[in-house]
Amino acid sequence: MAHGLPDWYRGVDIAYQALSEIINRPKYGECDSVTFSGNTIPNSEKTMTTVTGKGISYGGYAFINPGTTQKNDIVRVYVDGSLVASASFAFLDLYNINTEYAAIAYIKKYDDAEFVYVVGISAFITFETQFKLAYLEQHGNVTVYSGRFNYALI
Amino acid sequence: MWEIRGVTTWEDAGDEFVRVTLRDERGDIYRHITKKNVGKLNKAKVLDIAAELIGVKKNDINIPHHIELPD
Repeated sequence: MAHGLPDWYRGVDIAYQALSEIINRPKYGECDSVTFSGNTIPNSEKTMTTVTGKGISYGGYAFINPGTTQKNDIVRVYVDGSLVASASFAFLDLYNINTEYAAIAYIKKYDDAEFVYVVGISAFITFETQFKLAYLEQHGNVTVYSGRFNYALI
Repeated sequence: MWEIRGVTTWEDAGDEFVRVTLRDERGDIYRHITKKNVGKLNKAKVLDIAAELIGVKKNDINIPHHIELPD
């Protein structure tokens, strides 16, 4: 049971209280999710989704399944305007950056025979102003991308 | 007073989507609305979308300074 100075002598001050326990947790905010798809722009960057506000990533993924190799394409991640992930599918596969938290963007599936490429987005990345996912096409083709991103806004 | 806490944009199957997320002044209640093909986003358009969701005047909705939108 809490005891200490009564509240009417002064405002509640944790330094004057003897509390049996304190339960504390971060504010999570509202969870939202987007599913996106579109066409890439040859040799250019295309924004897949932007989340403007303060919040946290709950993770996601983006994938393509074209008819030819796109191994040098990149799923880019910008956090608060800074480019924090920008490695090609082939680079991520070559160096085994293939588990969550190995990098903000990591390769989940790399199949350069059947041309299936899946990039995961790590969870629990906080952002203060914006989280953006973009696709950089580097083979001169138009390819269909798809994906999902989960996040919370506080 | 409601406050805009986020604006999310994405494309899906040829359509462009925008989602506006709001929070009440106590910070307990969140609401969001998703609209399709609204065109170029600016503060006025986001406020219009938010006011439609909450059913209040645009003046009763705050946009924090960290939500950067064109005028």
